[in-house]
Amino acid sequence: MASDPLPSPSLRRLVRAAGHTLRSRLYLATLAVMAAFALLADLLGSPYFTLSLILASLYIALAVAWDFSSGLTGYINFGLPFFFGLGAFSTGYLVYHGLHSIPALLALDFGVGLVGGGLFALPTLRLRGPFFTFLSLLLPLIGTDIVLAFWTTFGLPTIGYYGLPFLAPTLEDSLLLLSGANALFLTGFYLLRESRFGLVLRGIRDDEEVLESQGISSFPYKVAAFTLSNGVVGFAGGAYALTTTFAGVDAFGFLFLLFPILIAILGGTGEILGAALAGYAVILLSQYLYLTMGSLTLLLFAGAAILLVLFLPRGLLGLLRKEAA
Amino acid sequence: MVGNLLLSSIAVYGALFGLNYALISLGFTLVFGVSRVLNLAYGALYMVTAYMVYLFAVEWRWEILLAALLAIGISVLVGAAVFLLFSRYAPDPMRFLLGTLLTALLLQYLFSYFFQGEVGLVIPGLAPTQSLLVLGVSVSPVFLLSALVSLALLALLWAWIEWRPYGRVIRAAAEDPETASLFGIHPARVYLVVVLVSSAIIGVAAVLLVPAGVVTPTMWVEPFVIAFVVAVVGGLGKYQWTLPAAFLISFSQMAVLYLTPYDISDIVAFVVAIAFIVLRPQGMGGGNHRGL
Repeated sequence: MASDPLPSPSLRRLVRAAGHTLRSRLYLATLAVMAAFALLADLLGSPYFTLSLILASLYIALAVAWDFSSGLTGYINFGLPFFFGLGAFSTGYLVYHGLHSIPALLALDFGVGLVGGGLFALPTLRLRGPFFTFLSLLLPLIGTDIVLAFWTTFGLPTIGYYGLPFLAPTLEDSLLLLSGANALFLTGFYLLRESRFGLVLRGIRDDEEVLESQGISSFPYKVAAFTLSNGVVGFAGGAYALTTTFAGVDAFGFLFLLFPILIAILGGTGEILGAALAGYAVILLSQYLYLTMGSLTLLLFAGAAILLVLFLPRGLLGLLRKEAA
Repeated sequence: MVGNLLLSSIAVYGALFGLNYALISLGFTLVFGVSRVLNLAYGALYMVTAYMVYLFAVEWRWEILLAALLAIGISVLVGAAVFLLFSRYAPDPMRFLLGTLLTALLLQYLFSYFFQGEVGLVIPGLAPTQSLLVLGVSVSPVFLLSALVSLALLALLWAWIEWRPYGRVIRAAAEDPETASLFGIHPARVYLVVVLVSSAIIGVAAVLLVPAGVVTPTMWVEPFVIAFVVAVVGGLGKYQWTLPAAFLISFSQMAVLYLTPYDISDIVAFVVAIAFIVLRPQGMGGGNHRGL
């Protein structure tokens, strides 16, 4: 008689639930869209289109990570550009110290994001109120100031690391790699969202005090969510540095906050999958508009983000769910 | 002799920067203390005023005093519009925070678009340009004038809130808006008045301080960070602690600047703010009660 690969009933239940979640039509459609874009880039062979999709993939990773932690818990993290820059600068530092393996670099960037995110979350998430959000907003500014004040101490040849290796031999391969990584992150975050863990995170957003009165301590859940999310942000920062072959202070820029937030809100706050779909729409549109309108594009997107915050805070997916209900 | 000059520099610049930081932060703390909302577009009003002064005084060649007054007026209008828009349609504190930060970015992109390619813009000041000696330290009259205005505004604001009848109304609305409304006070109207005053204060700060620097689309970040750090250190909403908190930060910065080889003033301010958030989130003012 063959032995049961999952002897524990609770594990069996967990795997069954995960299987059920992953059969959701929206999840499968999202993965199909990601695969279709990777295939389309390969067929068209247009460097601009492929680069736009690479950029979209990076922003999707940021948006999904932000949505998982901030969208689900309601604790707004403005520190995204800091962990993104941390990943980019870690890549530069490691390359300049002899590490050239791309998988190892990306894994370490993920680790740096995890550790940095955990160290930030542990003291700040103990406090209620706006302090977490406040401090997170200071982080990108601190990152820029540290680099500008100590760039010679870090052994940087200029204010940044240049001449970094490419993520993959061709742009299409880079896109494939990032799409694969995004599929992995998306699956992980989506599974967590649909699990008890995600339920607690949503409970924090709805009413943290009520949640705690049920005997559930919100603190470890918040720390775990923000740590994990910043790991993905660190990974994205490293991938960005390996795409542009440069890690500079621009990685701490507010652009890496504006677009992920816009994408996450448009997709539906806390919906995870919506962010992936909205990411392609927003970034491809912005890349197209940039060709015709230049810097006016940023103005338009900042305006769009404000309108979303004002009139559609739960995004398109949230609106559809409300209509369906 | 060198030691004396070093101490004089720390004392003079510490005091001047402290007063200027207080001028920049006063409005931010006051608005939070009264309405309990955190307006992240506050620093952007500094930028709006600076660009308007540039437009009126440099491009259109108007008298500087008229240009400054009009620019402050525009800052007040923008401040009120942002507050009314978000308190009406996004009253939830987190959406308010997010929306006002996005507004600051929108204004940054707006000025970046309309003044593209123009870097290093300077605006004329109200103070004379020749440096003065204070305790043997050379000081720009720009900073001296703004420090004096800061002192005057701090005193006026304190007298208004503590002694004048409308000050009592403000304190009541800040402490318990529901009970205040039972006594015929309209908290929303009081919040708006405070927002108008705070927008005017940051406008005044811009008119006085920007001539010492340049006008850029990212210039909103620095005053916002100063306002934020001072507010956290003094205690969110405790406007009476603005000056001590500003002094703590400015003297720490000057001590590090003059006693170490590093120019890390901003990092020092961040470290002080982080230490307060982690170790004493209620700030120097202490207490967790609502109100001023």
